[in-house]
Amino acid sequence: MGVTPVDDPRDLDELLGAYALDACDPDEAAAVERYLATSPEAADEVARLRAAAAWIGATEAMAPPSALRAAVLDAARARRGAGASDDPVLDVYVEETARFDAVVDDVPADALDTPTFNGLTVRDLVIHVAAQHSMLAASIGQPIAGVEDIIDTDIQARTTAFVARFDGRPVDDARAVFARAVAAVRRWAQTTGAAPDAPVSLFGLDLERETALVELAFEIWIHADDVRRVLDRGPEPPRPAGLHALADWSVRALPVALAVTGHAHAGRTVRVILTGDGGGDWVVPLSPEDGPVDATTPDIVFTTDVVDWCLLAAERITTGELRFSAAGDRALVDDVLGAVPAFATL
Amino acid sequence: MTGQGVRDIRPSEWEGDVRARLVAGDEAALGEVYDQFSSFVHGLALRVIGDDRAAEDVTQDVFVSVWEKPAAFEPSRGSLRTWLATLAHRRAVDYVRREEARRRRAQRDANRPATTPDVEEMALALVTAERVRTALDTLPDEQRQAIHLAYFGGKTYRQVAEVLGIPEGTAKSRLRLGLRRVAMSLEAEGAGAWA
Repeated sequence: MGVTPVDDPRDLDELLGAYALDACDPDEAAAVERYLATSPEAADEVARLRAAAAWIGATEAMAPPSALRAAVLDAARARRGAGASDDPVLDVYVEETARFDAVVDDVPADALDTPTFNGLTVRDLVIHVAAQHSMLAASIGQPIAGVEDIIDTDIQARTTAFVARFDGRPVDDARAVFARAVAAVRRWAQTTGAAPDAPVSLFGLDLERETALVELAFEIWIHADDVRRVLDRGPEPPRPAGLHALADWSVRALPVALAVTGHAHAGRTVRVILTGDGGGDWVVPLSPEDGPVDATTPDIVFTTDVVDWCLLAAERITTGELRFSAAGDRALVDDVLGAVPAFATL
Repeated sequence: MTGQGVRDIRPSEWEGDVRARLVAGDEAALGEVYDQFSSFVHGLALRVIGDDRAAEDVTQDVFVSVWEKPAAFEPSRGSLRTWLATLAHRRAVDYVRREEARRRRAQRDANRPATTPDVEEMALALVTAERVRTALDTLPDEQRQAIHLAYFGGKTYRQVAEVLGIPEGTAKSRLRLGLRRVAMSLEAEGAGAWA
């Protein structure tokens, strides 16, 4: 991004009033938005000016025709039916597996042996995700031809067996196994519906449908980012609805994660605020033994960006790298931070 | 100077609750937001556009967008009212600018009399709207005029400069200083009442 005259902070400060009133040209508005991302003071001023502008707008309040209410609700209902389904967990699984496939398409043949984040080459990473998704396919009674005899449930051992199986073969063979496994999982997820069902086996654990889909969607997004890094591309998080589904699951998994890491705190609660598109606001107990919580008086309040939260859960950033703010008992905060990545597998 | 006051740092309980229900796809939550803010959104759109039908379209568009992307509302960055105003105003301004590009818009009186606030709008909004009018009235004429042209007239600061026959830099600073004054006088009236 070249520095143009309009990127001078003094000029941009002068523009903040016009920006808050939507009175800039589009290129200037874009420059202001870039500036706001780097200057908390300017962002704070714009928030104040926008609030003032909103109140100026309030001086004109006038009820719309009463028929508009029904029209709005009808339009909203129609949109929901046509667009997002009521099954965000399946949506994010379908979208992220498709995005992984698309990014692998972009990898040139001579880059297939480039190592990725976790040490696997791009080729072996493709084989690894084929190993993951075919494991769930087998668990739901849809074993994938050509790998059905590999029954390891430990993902490292299974990946090793898959790498041996695809040794010397075109990477497309592994991609075909991945595609068939994804299709089988999708059909199964569609027919079982969103309702909790009999547990399925994944990574040697008995998991609910939602957990299995979230685990795999999470992994495939992270691995797609691993491939993007090889291609010198930046990370691309899922769409907000999908991101929210993943974040929601990982926040609700915190009580169990704390128990797994040996730091459950009975009777204590955390409020987790994840900012950005797809974020949200939760109050969860710090122990899986606890029932419903009193959401009004959490022991600690933890705020961070929703994407960063997910990257921490996937061990793509460390607790030391995470930018967050927290209020309350520091020891509890540290235990929560330590528990977030408890379910990262690779 | 801090951002306390007009900028509502602490989201109301209702805002947080309604946001969570919208994310979960609860239609009743959309109805509540509509009932609370439709007069506000519609009035703003109508004031900027000056056409009933187009203002209703913008109003519908804003609330459908709230339904589709509720997570885009971030309580930490401002109140629900401010977010809705931003959505409504941008759409209204886009409409006006598109129309302007197509044909020279019929001369619309910049001094169109203010419409009466809807009595259904929450009491706080009514009281605040009065305070805002007072704040606007006490602005230097040239600042008030610039804000009116930009915010309700849908003009860019360059167009404001042209209409008023002043340099662009002067237009920019009048908008900023005027808006700051409004923000400050609202903040001086007492923080916490602006949620």
